[in-house]
Amino acid sequence: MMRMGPSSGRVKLAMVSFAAVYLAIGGRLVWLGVEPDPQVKERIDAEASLAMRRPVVMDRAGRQLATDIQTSSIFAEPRNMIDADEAAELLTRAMPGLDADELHKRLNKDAGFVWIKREITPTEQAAVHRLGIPGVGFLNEQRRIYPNGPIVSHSLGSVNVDNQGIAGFEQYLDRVGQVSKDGKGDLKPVELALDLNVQHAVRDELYKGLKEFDAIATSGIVMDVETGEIVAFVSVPDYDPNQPAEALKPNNINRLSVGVYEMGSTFKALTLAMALDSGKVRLTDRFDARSAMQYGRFRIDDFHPTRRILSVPEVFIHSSNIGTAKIALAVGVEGHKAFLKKLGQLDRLRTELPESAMPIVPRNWGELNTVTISYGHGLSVTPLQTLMATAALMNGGQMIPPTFLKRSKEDAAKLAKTVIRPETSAQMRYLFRLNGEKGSAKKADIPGYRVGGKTGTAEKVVNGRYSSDKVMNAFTAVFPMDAPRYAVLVMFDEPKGTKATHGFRTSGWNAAPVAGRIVSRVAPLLGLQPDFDAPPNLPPAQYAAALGDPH
Amino acid sequence: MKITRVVNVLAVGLLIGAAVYVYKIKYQATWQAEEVARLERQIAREKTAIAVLNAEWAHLLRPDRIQILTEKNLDLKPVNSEQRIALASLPMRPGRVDSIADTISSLGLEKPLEIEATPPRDDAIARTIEAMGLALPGAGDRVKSRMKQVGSDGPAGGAR
Repeated sequence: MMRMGPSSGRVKLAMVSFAAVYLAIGGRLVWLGVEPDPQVKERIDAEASLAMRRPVVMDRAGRQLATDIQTSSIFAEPRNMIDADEAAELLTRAMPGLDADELHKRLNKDAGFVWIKREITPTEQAAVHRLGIPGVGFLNEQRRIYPNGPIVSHSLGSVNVDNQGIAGFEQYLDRVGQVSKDGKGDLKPVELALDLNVQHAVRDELYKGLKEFDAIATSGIVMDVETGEIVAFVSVPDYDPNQPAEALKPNNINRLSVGVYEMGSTFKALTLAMALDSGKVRLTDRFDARSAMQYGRFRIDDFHPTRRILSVPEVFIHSSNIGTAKIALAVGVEGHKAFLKKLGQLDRLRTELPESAMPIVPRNWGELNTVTISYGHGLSVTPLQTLMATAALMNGGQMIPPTFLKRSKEDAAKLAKTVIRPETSAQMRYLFRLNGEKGSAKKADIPGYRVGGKTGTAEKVVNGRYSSDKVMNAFTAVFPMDAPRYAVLVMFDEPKGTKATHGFRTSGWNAAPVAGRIVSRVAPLLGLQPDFDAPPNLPPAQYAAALGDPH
Repeated sequence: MKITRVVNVLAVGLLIGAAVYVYKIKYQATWQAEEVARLERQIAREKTAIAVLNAEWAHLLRPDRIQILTEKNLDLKPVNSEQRIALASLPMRPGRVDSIADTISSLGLEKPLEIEATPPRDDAIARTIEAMGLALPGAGDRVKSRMKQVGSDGPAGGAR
């Protein structure tokens, strides 16, 4: 039995006070756990935002397109600083790029955590480390690097300073969760369909073309017609993704999937495929192109008038607006609309890139619309969209949505949608090759690679009316024509005539030869052998006798 | 009594032994854990370094830089499609024919004649051609037939 005495009260007091102290400490711990000290919290948040790691992005051959490297950032805890003004002075001396006034202001704030400078160089880090300022520290963070600079820009997109994707493929990676938010775990590299060397070759030729024809912009795509893989994707002028702010300049937009354009005569390929596939028009049919078509107050005439009756192949290689319009009318407005819908020309085309544009479709689609859309005016679509449709006309009638990711033939076949019959596709291949041999695509015909294509020169709308001296040129090419493997699209915005083009500014004089140069450079890179003994381009058997030689 | 003492001493001994042993294991485990942590840090450092080196390598290999370097330093031009041919379609190299030996044997002169003459001049070009295996068999015949052709309708060639 404990002896009760005068000390027992003191013992109790001691016990109670100890218990109180421990309770206070425990309570504070719980409180901190539930709601951390703002100063600590700011720092924890900052660390969390730095932890974001992104996978390496590689091209189809395993060359690096984007990677994370570790850098440091300097932060300060103004509350722990002894002399903020001295610290600001020392820091600006160590890093002359800093804004001194701004830094003074920031360090004199009553804040727990402020950034001084993000992503500093190792020399800067060493310099600041040597200063030994209390309340200044470093945090490691990942910085996104694009070793190839501007060669791959619009398709990759960019990230913000916290390593979050804000555009292009980088944003796609965030959306599908292929990034590590807490910086843990090994991220598998992501392989794109893009080929860096092909991309560079296309870009190089486009820049040369831009200079030669004094255009304001140009763009090009190389796409695998069997899988829909985008092997090259260039929109010029472009920017260096290491400086993402440049992407915001209005002239640097992605013209291939964000810009919508009237594609001009390249659209005639779609019109002809529609008519031939419907069975209402046959390759041997003839259309009267002797005089311009009067349609209400609109007059539809040819750019290179032939003033005679043309067969379907002749309509194609002479790029007759009159002939194409009559062919479209033979199918009718509803059929035209349904066909373009089937080919995805009336809906937004979505790829991995978040940037996409809605085509501009006429609200009340009448006969006049069908007439103008048949030769590529009055409907604005993205160039990528048109190339997707063109590839479908060439590969046997399978429309495959384009992708920036690697895709096998089997996967492509699962996604493919039959849009025209294989026989129609064979006829379209004949027409494309014919145009490459004898028509406006001649300048793109590289010996041995059997290039076929369709040119298009669309007059730009300036102040609400079509301008005759500002044009938007497009050229879609496919090669090798007897067994199509790749589709190429080249566009020039406002090219000028030169001495070498005899002052002409139509597509056959600029977009087509540039596409030719691209084909001759990329075909070897894509592993295609030139073949000089390939069979001649003949119309499908049942029409051969009737057509003969169209020249 | 004695037995208990022995057991006690033994037990104490065992206890001390076990304690030392456990301490050793514990110490080793800590040391190993530190070693693992050290290696992990090193791996992380190496990985960071590899990432930087890879990025630098990619930066040095970027095609626009290579193109500028080749244009500046090499006398090469891009190959055009006509200069490309599949390996399989290359013709086989013709077997080597020693036309002089053939001529000698056809004349029945296998045994070398003893001719007193100055040694032939050293023809460097002919030697090179011979060394490269470019001497065409029967070149003489071709020249002869060409001569004949020119002789028969040479001057009148333009009148054809």
